[in-house]
Amino acid sequence: MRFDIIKKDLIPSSMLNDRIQQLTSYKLESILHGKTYWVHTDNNTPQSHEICKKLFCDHVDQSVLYDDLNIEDLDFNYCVEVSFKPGVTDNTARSSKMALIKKLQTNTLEVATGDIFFVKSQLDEDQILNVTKNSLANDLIQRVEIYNKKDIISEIPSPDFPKVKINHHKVETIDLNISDDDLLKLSKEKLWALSLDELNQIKNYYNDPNIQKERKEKKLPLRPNDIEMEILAQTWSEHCKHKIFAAHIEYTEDSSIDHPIGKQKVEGVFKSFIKKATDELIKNHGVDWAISVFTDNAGIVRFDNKIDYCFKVETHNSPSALDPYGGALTGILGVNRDILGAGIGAKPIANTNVLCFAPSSYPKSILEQIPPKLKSPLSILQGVHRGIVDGGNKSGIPTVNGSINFHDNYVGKPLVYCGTVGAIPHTVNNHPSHLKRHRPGDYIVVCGGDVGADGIHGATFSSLELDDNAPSTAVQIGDPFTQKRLMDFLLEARDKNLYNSLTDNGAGGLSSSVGEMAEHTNGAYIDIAKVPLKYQGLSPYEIVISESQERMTFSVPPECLEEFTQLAHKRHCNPAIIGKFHNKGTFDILKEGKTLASLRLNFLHESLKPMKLKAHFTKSKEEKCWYEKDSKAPTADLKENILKVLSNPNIQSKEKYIRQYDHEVKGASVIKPLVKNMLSGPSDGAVLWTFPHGGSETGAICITNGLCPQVSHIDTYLMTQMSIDEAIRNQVACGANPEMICLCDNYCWPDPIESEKTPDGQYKLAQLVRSGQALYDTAIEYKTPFVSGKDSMKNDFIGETKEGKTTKISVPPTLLISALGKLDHLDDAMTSDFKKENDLVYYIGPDVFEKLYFSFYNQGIKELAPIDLKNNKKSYKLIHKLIKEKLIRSCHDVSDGGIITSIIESLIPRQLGFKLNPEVLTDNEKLEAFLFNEMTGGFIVSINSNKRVDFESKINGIKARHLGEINNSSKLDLNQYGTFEVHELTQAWSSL
Amino acid sequence: MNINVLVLTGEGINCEVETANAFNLAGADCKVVHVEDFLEQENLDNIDIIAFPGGFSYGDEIRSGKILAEQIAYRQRENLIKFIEQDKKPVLGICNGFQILMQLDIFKGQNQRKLTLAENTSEQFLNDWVRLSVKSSHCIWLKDLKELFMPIRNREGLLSGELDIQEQVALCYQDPYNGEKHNIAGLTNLHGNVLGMMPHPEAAQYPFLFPKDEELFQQNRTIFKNAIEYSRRLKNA
Repeated sequence: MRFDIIKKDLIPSSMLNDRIQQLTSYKLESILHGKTYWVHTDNNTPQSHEICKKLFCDHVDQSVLYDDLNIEDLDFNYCVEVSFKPGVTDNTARSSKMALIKKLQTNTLEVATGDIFFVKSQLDEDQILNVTKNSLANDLIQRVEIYNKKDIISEIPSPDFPKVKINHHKVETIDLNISDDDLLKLSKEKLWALSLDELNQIKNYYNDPNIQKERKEKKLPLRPNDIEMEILAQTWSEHCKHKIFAAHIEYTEDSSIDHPIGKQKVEGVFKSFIKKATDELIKNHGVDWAISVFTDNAGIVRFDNKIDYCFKVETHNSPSALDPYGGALTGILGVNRDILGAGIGAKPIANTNVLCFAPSSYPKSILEQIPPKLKSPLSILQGVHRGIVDGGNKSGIPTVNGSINFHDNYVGKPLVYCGTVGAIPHTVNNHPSHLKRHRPGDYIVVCGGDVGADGIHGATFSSLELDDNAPSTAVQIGDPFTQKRLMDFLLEARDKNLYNSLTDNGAGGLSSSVGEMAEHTNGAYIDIAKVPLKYQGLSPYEIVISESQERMTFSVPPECLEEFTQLAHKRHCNPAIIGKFHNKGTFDILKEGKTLASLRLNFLHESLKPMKLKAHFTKSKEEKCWYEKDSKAPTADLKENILKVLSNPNIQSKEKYIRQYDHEVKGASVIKPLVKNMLSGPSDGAVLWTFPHGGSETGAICITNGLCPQVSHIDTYLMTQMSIDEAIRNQVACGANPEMICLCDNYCWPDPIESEKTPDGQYKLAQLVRSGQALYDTAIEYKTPFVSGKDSMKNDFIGETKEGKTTKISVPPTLLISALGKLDHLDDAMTSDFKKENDLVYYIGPDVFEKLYFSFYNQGIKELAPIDLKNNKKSYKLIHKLIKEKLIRSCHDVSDGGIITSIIESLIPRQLGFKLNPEVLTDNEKLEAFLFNEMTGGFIVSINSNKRVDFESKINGIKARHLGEINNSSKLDLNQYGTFEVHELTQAWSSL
Repeated sequence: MNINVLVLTGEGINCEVETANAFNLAGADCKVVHVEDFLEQENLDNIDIIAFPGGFSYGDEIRSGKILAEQIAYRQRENLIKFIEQDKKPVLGICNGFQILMQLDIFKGQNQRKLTLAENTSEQFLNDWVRLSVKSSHCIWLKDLKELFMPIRNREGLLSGELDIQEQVALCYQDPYNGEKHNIAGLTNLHGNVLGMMPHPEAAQYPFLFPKDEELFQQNRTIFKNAIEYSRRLKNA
């Protein structure tokens, strides 16, 4: 049965037509969108037809084509049908099936869905196909059919029902006793991403007489089989093992560089810088609230007397490059599961997202130079954005903080950072909830979705650079609804004490989730015959490593097994008892009781030796844009320059994107992403009330971020200081206590390992070492521990240009710092908007106005404004005190776009006016530098003019100056330099 | 006297916590009950008020509220109709809850349903704050209220179809919100004991959650208090 559902009013979609025009530069006369449902059942009666029709079609405003609506009544010449390829997650079909299965009283029921578009256009059929593939469908996961009107007068031919057909695979043994070249070839062919050293280590393991004896006893072949090789490849992947962050690095630098950090031997960037900073802060500086760091799925901090907060940020770059919507959606759901799997299960309470794209406004001449296999920046932005919208909204988790950043060199790979904050009571059923407690004898139970071929090799694939031959199985579409069911069940089961521990199934699938949990008990087995599958035919190794989404692995004690599985069934979470934890030192894969594979856990987890790498820093290199770019210096016209800065896509308002995120569900968003009065201005961060999540009635937390890839090419040491400072400064501006802030680091680097493909590997690795050193130095100075982090080290694209030349495009070294802070009291929450006329405006921050430094105003300059962390910290403490004393009425950080941008952003919400104090600058200072320089440590604050004396006496010890006064003129008055209408400035800022 | 409120959860509903909190704040005893457990209940006699909170039941697939409404219609429809029409007890549907009530034909009058909630003309989800005017004098939830201010967060909130009984309009947007010409934000039934609305009063119960005009939080609390007082009178009678 087929149902094409069309709106009765037959009004074409202007949104789709606009999107098509933006993405393809074609404009259609009209496009009408409908939804198609295919139902396969043996119960093919007229009654069944009626039941389906009633479900799919709302009689008030919809019709079923050919049934209630004559195709002659539709005005079109092409009918475009888009449906999913076999094996791709179809969420609508899954929900429809749930609704129909009982009503149709049949067990043979399959549902598939698609979109149907009725297009009126003069374009030819090839052009229509082109338009479809570039704006309505993704070739990798969807199929497209195009019909002319005359072909479908009586019916639309239905495509084959999407059925996955897989040939049955057997377990293969693999011969590693071959030449080095052949080993490497094999590794590439199989997408293992293993190095020669690693392959040889595996070879030696299998040649070890003790291991051979053990394998004989287990009736296993002496050679490794594909299951074992895949488990090793997943577990040892860069994605899971962070080999570059663990590598021992010899760092050297030229003597002529600007900020020397000195020759050094780094015993792992993670250990020597990130973890070291946190360990020292906990040990020597009284940070007693970081209660679980780096060991679990997320960091856990104690900011409340009832609940703890978990914090984790992930990246999902490669999948988002291939399928922007699915990639971003899966990214959000994945990091939510990290929180669900933290401790004994926390509740996600807020999402963040920081997105990095190439500019979406490239003219045609540049768009045409993009390598053909890459998607256009705008289509990536739109797809990723839709994924974030659905991921957060449909899960009931507010998206409260983030940013969208643009840089040319993200054209090869977008960066999609997804973060989640979770809440968990200090204790659940009298157990400290941040401690996992699985033990030998516990059953391994998997709940959630079934396993399919989707997401095979995600972990190893993301450990390779993106090239033209990406496997489609690495792509998957998340299902927020299935995960929401799982989330509700998990928290219910947790509170009923039905399991001992849990973890999420993410990268590496069961091989990683069970493999990692088995490390604590010293052993586990799973029986793959017990794993619920989406379809038959998967080979055993695929079942073990599939990253099919929305699954969690639980450790359930025998006495709770029955109650646990009963509840899981009732909540539609599909429990499967797949194995047991033991303490025999091995991880075993069985099928129907027979051992198929076995690996020693100490070999799997501890045998990997750190890589030894070299890094060398020379004078900073020029940043090379992927295409020939002319940069324009600022003109002499101040107004033009201000408008240009405000309309820079990095600075412009992101309101049209932000308002599509539900940022208020759960009723806890005190400071929202936009400060709104008459109009919306930007917030420096999000403030959430703790009470709705079980915390104290007066408590609040703050979430902010910092990211400065635009200066990475100058020096990653300074870039790192700026990023951390920005995140912390945003915290202070929102009212957080600067002594109670924790951080999360997310590195997205271009490949830093020297090789034929990466001749400048030593330089890129040196950039990483310098960033690590800055991370340590800054965290110690600001006393802000890192509690969690992640790194993604292969953000390069290698592929062919239109002319057939091989090209490589690497992202700029990018570090996202996310911060989670505590407000002493809910009442300390502070917003960025100027509140009242006659209030006085001050700048607090360093004096850096004698010359122009690098900024969005002038990106040609190679010098950054000097950074003084000690003084910054001093003013942060003071501002915090002044906020608590209610002396400050608004506080906004000075970042991208400089002081002038901050002032304008503070004026926008109430459309107020501002007059600059004519004596604000000293003789040596330059107006241009004052207006546009970007510095660390800078704020714009406003105060009630009655409190001037009190305020000025208190800021005595820090750098600050009186900038001017707020009025209700709706004008920005810069004296002899000009007066500008605030509404005009608002327009430039908001016209994205 | 205890007023027992049943707040539904599960199957994609996601505003149950703040909805229950709003009722508790107004003096009720709330139970958050999973849809599956609700569908199993033999009768609804011990419940005084039922709330269908916001969310994305069944992922909003096919049409918002449709599949959950089908589940309820299949297993709990008679009890719910008795609860509303015979017992005249209060029912609240917010956002997705309103969509569910709509698909359950609660607002249909005597004949076939002529209204539905369709996609906003922007074809996008939108989170903003809206000012509302109270239009109904007989809706028990809106007694003594004139103007409200609260967040709204949906993609399918446009009232479409034929509106033949004017008294059913409960709330209107003061400024155009989703492209619908009558600016209707909420409906009530003939007796006034059911309120379905797209905006979220439960998310605006405290002054510090307001972007401005925070004194209006009291009005949002009154919605929940009204229903509880009505229930008390009903129980006393």
